[in-house]
Amino acid sequence: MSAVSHSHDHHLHNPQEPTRAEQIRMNRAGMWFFMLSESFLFIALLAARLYLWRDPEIGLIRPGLEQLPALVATVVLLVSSYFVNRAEISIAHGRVKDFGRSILMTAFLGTAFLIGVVGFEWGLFLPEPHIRISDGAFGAVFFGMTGLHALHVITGVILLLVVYFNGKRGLYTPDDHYAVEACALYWHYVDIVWVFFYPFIYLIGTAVHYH
Amino acid sequence: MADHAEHAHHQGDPQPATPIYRQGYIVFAVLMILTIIEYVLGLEQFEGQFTIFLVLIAILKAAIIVNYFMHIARLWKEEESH
Repeated sequence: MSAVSHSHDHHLHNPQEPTRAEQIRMNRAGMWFFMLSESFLFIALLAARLYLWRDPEIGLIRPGLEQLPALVATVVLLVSSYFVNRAEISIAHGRVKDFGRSILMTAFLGTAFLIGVVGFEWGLFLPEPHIRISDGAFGAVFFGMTGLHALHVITGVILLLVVYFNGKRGLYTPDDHYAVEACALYWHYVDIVWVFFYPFIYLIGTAVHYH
Repeated sequence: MADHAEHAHHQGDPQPATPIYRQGYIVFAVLMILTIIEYVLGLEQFEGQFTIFLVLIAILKAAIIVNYFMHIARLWKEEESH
């Protein structure tokens, strides 16, 4: 995750090479460009939702899904965002135990979110799913949006666990923990995507009960 | 930086820790309040009347996360903190 150079010896520093501070700034910029590039994919899905979930007479529509499970999933993801922020602050202050606990809590909440969306919203744990992929535009867009987001959540949980075990090995210090920052950035990004997906899937438009 | 170094040797995570996490609590509370407002505005009895407000709230929530949790200002920071 981190391509940060660890050459602390200023006497041997090659002026052609970036300093460690410059390297971190470049890594950080690279991470933001990566997130920006990913945004185009998610914006395309939002555009598909706005175009396909529309009725000529009543305007924007949405599938009449249950609201409460989506609210709970959204809150779980927000709490996880708080904990990953807490983990980053903890490692920056040398609070190793708090860091480990916060990272694990984030990974746990991320997994709970996945179970909520994939297990219940997709109907894997239910005898009768709320929505099927064969439900026309509703099904296609719903599974496209939640599926792509779920893939990012899975990636984020894997990254969180990698960072947790690296932390256990003592690889991060208050002065050197860019990998933790990058992982936290990614997790917040996953949260931001859901900040938009939640209202666009569950709240905006007139609910249509199609089953 | 000096503050970090001062804390670095405290492997046992001494108390109190509340001040360093205070901003996180506040940001989380604001995000929660905005989410509850979203939920209420999206209830079926409102029949999609609040679309623009829901979009604005989502943008506001994203801006709060980008600023306070993702620290976008670090991109322009010359001094490196870690």
